[in-house]
Amino acid sequence: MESRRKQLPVAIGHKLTTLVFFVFIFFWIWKKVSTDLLYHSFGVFMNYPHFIPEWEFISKTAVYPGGISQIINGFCSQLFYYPLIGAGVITFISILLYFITKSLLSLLNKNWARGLAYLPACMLLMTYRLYDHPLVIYIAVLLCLSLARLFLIIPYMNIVIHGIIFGFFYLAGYYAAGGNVAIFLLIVCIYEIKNRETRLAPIVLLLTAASLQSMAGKYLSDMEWDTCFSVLTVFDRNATSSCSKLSIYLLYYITLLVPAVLLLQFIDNLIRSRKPTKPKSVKQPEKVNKTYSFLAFLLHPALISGILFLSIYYSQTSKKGVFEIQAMSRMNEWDKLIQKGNELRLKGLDLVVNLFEIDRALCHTGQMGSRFFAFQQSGQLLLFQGFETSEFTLFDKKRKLNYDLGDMNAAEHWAYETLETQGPCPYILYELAKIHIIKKQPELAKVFLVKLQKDFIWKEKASAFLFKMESDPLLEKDPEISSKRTQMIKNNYAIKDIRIIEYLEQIVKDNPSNRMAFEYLMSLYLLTHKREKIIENIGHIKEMGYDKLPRHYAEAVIIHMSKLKQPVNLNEWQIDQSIFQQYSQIMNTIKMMNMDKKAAFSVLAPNAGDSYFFYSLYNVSGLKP
Amino acid sequence: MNNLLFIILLAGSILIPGCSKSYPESAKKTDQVINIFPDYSSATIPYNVAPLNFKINRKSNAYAVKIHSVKGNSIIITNDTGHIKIPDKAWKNLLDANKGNDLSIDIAIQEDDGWKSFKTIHNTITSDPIDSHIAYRKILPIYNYWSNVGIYDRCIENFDEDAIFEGKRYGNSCVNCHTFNSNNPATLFMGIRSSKYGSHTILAEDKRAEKIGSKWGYTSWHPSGQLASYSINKVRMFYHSARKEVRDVVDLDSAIVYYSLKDKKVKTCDDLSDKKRLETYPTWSPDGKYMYYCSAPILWEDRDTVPPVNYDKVKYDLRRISYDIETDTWGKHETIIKAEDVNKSILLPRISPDGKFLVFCMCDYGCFPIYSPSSDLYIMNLETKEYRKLEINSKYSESWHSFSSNSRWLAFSSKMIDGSLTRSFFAYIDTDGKVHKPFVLPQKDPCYYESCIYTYNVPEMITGPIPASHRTISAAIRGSDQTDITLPLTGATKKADHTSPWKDRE
Repeated sequence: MESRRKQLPVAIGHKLTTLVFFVFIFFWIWKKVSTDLLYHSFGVFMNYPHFIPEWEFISKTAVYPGGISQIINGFCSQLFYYPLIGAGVITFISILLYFITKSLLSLLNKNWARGLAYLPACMLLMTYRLYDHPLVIYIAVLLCLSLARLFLIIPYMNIVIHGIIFGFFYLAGYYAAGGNVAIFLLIVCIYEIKNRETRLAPIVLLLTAASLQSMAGKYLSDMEWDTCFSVLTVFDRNATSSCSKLSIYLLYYITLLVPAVLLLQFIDNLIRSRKPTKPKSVKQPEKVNKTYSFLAFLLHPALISGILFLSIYYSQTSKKGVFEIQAMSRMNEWDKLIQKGNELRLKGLDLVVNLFEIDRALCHTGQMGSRFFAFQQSGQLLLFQGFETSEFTLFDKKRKLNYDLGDMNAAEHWAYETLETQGPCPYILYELAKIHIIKKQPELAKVFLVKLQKDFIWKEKASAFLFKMESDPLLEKDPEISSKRTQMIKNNYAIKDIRIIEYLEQIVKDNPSNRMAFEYLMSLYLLTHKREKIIENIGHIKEMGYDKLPRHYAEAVIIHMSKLKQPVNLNEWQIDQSIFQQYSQIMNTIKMMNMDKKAAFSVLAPNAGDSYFFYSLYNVSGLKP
Repeated sequence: MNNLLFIILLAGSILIPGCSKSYPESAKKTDQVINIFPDYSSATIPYNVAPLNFKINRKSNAYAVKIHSVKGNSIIITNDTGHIKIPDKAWKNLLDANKGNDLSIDIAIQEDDGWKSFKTIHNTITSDPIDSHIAYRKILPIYNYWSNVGIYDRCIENFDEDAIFEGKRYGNSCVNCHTFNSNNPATLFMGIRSSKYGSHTILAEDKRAEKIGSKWGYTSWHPSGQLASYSINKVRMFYHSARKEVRDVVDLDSAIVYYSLKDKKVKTCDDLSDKKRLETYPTWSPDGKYMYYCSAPILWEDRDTVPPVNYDKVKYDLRRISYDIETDTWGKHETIIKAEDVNKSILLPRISPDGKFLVFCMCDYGCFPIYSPSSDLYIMNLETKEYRKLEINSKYSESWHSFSSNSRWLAFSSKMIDGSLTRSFFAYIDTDGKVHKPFVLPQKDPCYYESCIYTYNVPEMITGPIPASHRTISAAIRGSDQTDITLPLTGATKKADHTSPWKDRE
């Protein structure tokens, strides 16, 4: 009674630490990770975890090994749309992992083991700080650990009954968690070896497990041998696709944590039991316990803080930036996107993957002709020339680009490629509905919208779309739809391999009012130094709604004039004096450096690094701080 | 005791939901036609078809449906959703008792001023049964890349569907050209292309399956079961910039060969492998004396450029060639319909098992009717050689047809519902060759097609489930044993690259 009273503050301390720990995890994920960024990246940077509230989907998924985890993961992943709920989901899973790990490690009767129970939650936090999404494996591990704990509660009767119960649990574990059921097997076997007098039980259990898994995987689910055992584990490429190396190491860790600790303790016990017993020292046990408890009281928060610090330290800011840009693009928040792109550029995180979205944003905000070279442009990156077309992460980007350019057939093509490779991702269903309505295929658009109505996140949006179609079947009154319809390519060509400049020229020729295609074409001319083409098209710029000649086009005109040494017909456009002045400054600087372009580079970059003048000299851009 | 009674009554009300249903006979009758989806009206249906579940396309708070005929009990369904799920047993009894009679559907809905009923919907129940099963390819509308291609057999008498092959289980393999001999499910040929297991053809006879080391194109069994003809194609996909159907396909080079199951050898003849022509879509007459096929001149020199010049001018003739199986000799080909005469491309000939009718597709150009909105079905009386366009065609593509074993039913693929997603339809053909209004493959969920983004392709009617199990077929696919064959010609088809499934479709 006395000792319990003394241990009470320690127990309260532990509980408080746990509470603070999980509250911290929740807030950190909610405010710093923002699960909605992950949601918006599904189908682009990582495979889309499905959840379709249809019996067909649930029944077909559940009968496949690991299917239950897939369903839970699919459902949880949809909740990521809401950062608060998403943080709640991750925290809830980490709490469950903590309790189940703690419960299993308590079998060791070792105080030090308790601290390890925090580790899975830390690993989960670290994984989400890395913006990876292998939640399905965490769920599968959780289910296996829970099954193991449940199984160990069941009293042992005899080997036959024990084997039957084990078989039932094992099969349930296999269908719930796939190959991760090996965790369950390992824990149970170690426990059996440690606690039963007979060594027969683990052998029986191992044989039962191997035969059940083979039967269920190979014969019932018709899987290949290796897939039978690896499905949904860290070895399953589908489950860990797009995960960073560190996340994969964490997955190894989380998978092996409990069995490894149990095994090490068992081996330790085994070694100790074989050593000759020394006479016990005459230290006062009461004092040792007190000291240990005090140390543990201090150690746990310290250990947890250390792990948390490491989790937060190993964060992927660049990946977060990519995801933020992606999310802003999904929401059409173009100004915010450009601002973010600029922030990342200044931090030295201007990854090429962002450039595509930044260029789209510049185009959507009418700044392509004036701020294009404020970012590190590349002729190859604009419009994905020279990229491997089988890279599935590009499919949706190609769809967006073609949609912007008014090439609805190409947009449809890439949307269907995304649908095939990513499954029924709601974004793609919605985009397909839009494309088909623009193409005046309302019946087809409805199929995608009705499908989308089954998604609880998208239900409202799809219903609103369908409701509008009731009174206006072709959405003639919808500004976006009708504007896209006017931009659509009218003349039919048979296409296989596109030559990008000719393709854009054709679009602009067919529809001279297609501003986005025009701007992309002009940017491509600038990037490929085709200044004479800029001059040729200068007459069309007014038709595009510009009130003054965009800066980069003016820069191209000045260079062109200086090379030809004769004036150019500017079609009533005036070139801003400041642009002439910048040109003179650049020329003077180069002259001052004895026409040594290389030496002038660092002098020019701070002031002119965002100009076409600079790009035309050095073929690089975006260097202005 | 009272509690027990209550529980029994409660359980009864849950388990027998139909017992308290009644159709509002006093509903105000109107001449209005009510829309149901799918359109199961004025169609001719077999007595052994699964319940034609449907949705009433009109908003209301309450719906009542009475399905009745001359004999037997009417089926009454009332609900507040308008989703009509017909009880299996009652449906079967009603249809069994009324072969040759009309099947009537009365629909009433509740409005503010009471119940209102609409014009009765009539369908005809024939005494000619439809084959119990259908094998189809169910896929998303794929372009160049595939990850989930599957072939399934589905019982038409109920809603059971079994996977014969699912590509995702074999490293995202692609599967196509499933073919049966005379509607016999125990004779399946199926082409597979896989990055992991290579390209080959699976022959599933009865309960065993074997792998043939080459992927076949469009295949047709000789009725004797001793050989199968197949095409070798160099098919490539390309796209249109402004057409409603984006995809198009061209066959750069092709030929027809035949495989002897006895000798395990592939042979051909000059008429079927003319270097200057494209030969494809072989199909045997039921007596095995003629092979019908399609043939067109090659209009391009360069057999690699996609699309080639004049791709839209390629039009296939319908031809046939005689064959003597005893001596393994071919006759001279004869042209049945010249493309030039009709200014259309004639494709996919299929002959009814009784040998009376030939159904084929005609479209504006090319070799791939499913991507051609102009593709329509035509029927030819093989005695008189007269042919006509079928009344069942829509403004969208109709193609990939097959006959039932009793020649009375035609299964075909059509995009008529929404213009793009292919569905499987069934049409009754009477002994005079008159084709009746078709109905779409029924589904358990009345709203299934409203949100189904999958396409149902190449419907092949078969007389039962495929006896070869999924495991047997998968063992053959994954196994190393295979029959190696050598082609008797060169150049028609480029070998598939086995390193990546992400390749152009062939």
